[in-house]
Amino acid sequence: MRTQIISFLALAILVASTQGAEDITPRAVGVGDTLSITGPSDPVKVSEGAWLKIEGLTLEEIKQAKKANLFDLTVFPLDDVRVHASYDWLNDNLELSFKAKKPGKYLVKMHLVRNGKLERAATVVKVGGDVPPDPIDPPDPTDGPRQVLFIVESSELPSLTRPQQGILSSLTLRKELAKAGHVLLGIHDKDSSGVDGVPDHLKKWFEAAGGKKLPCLLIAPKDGGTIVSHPMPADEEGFWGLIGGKP
Amino acid sequence: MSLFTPTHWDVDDDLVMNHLINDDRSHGGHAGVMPRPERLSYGSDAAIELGLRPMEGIGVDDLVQPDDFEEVIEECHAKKRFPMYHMEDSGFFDNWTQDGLNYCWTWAMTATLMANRLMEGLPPVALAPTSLGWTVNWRNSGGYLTETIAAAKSHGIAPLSAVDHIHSRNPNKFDDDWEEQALENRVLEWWDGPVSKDIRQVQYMLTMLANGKPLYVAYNWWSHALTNVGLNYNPRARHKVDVLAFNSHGDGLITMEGSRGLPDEYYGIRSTSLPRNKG
Repeated sequence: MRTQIISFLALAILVASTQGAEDITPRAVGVGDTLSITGPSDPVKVSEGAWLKIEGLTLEEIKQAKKANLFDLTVFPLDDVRVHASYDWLNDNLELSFKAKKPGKYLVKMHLVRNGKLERAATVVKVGGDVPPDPIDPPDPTDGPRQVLFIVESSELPSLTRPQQGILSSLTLRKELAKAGHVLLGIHDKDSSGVDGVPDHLKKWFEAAGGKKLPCLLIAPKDGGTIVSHPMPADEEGFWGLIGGKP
Repeated sequence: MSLFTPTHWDVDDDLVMNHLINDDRSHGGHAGVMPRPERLSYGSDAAIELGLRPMEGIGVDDLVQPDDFEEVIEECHAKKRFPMYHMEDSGFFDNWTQDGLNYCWTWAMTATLMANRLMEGLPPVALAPTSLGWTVNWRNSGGYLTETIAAAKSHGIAPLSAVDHIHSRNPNKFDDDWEEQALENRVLEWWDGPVSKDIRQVQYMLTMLANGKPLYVAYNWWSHALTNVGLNYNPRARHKVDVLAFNSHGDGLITMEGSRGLPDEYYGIRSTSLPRNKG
């Protein structure tokens, strides 16, 4: 049985080690202690979790050391690494769960001052294999030319960033959009209305923006189809990314 | 009746007087616009009820800052963000002239709405300025911007195709349903610009223009209404900008330099009626 995650989670004091980048061989354990960190002997896969066992240290001791600022847990390199501390009360074990997104060798080191003496323990976790691709947003359910419409709150236009304001007002951008075969249907204030309410040809667009944070970018196939809403892109590059690429 | 009310005289004002004297014939010798009525003053209940939302509701931090004027204006020109570019590109504003009628108040309103339609990404539409002639009982008379704003909200502006010709003041020659057609082109809500004749006013104006809002404006010294459609950065100018205005005297885009460039009324459209058809 795995354990409850307890509040002392050492993640709060994880720091990037300043140890030299080349040699991450653990140093010898300090005199007089039995502190140790034991990790898997075989390499683990990228994004696959591994358990590291901490021995020679009780929960109470680690709490006291942490409280007195006499405890440190270091991981190097730290990028894209997740370490989570926990207490296995069934087996009275302190454990670390370790997961890395990139292959390589990772030093996990612990410093502790106990009874006036500095104690250290370390292990190296080897992570191998291919880096899995980052999860990506599902693509719009269409290729080809698009219809594009923005719903805005006019009172908030001045609070947009300059690049965002540029998306909404640039004639140059609109020309590029048309050249790529896309159609700009409009940029409408959410309170705009026709003689008989929102006109039929715009109803579904306004509905698609319902409840969304404004400004809202709506995209659909040029010849009709599902309208997909997006938050206002941060800049032109973001805008073209949603449309399908700049011509 | 005087064409203008001199208030503060700048070094440019002699040039202004000469321009107005030469312009007298196109004005027909009558005032084009009258100053904003007190009962519809900025921020008043009546103004707000009309759909005029004070621009001072915009956070000061959201305004374009004076130190950024040059950069923002340059970008608005480089990326063609100012309404003037959209207007020119549409081809719908060639030979835009009130041709002697004292109807600058509606020519400017109509140009502002047409330009705003373009900024909204809608197909260009030609509208008929004289379709607001009912507000002055079809006389050849000046008007108030605020009254025109009220009319544009309640009745709208008819398409040019609904009238016999662009300078016609005879509704009997309009289409039978010209009033219904006009309802398609209404302005529902405006930004109302605070007039301070200083850098802060420029901040408000530039913030509007940089967001694609043409400005419906009035100049009391000129008794004239126009559409402000862009700005040029001018470090020598008192307020760092020259104002670019679209005029209804057949001269198109004009540059207004110096203190006379800051209008006595300025409004930006916030929301309009949506056309029934896709167009």
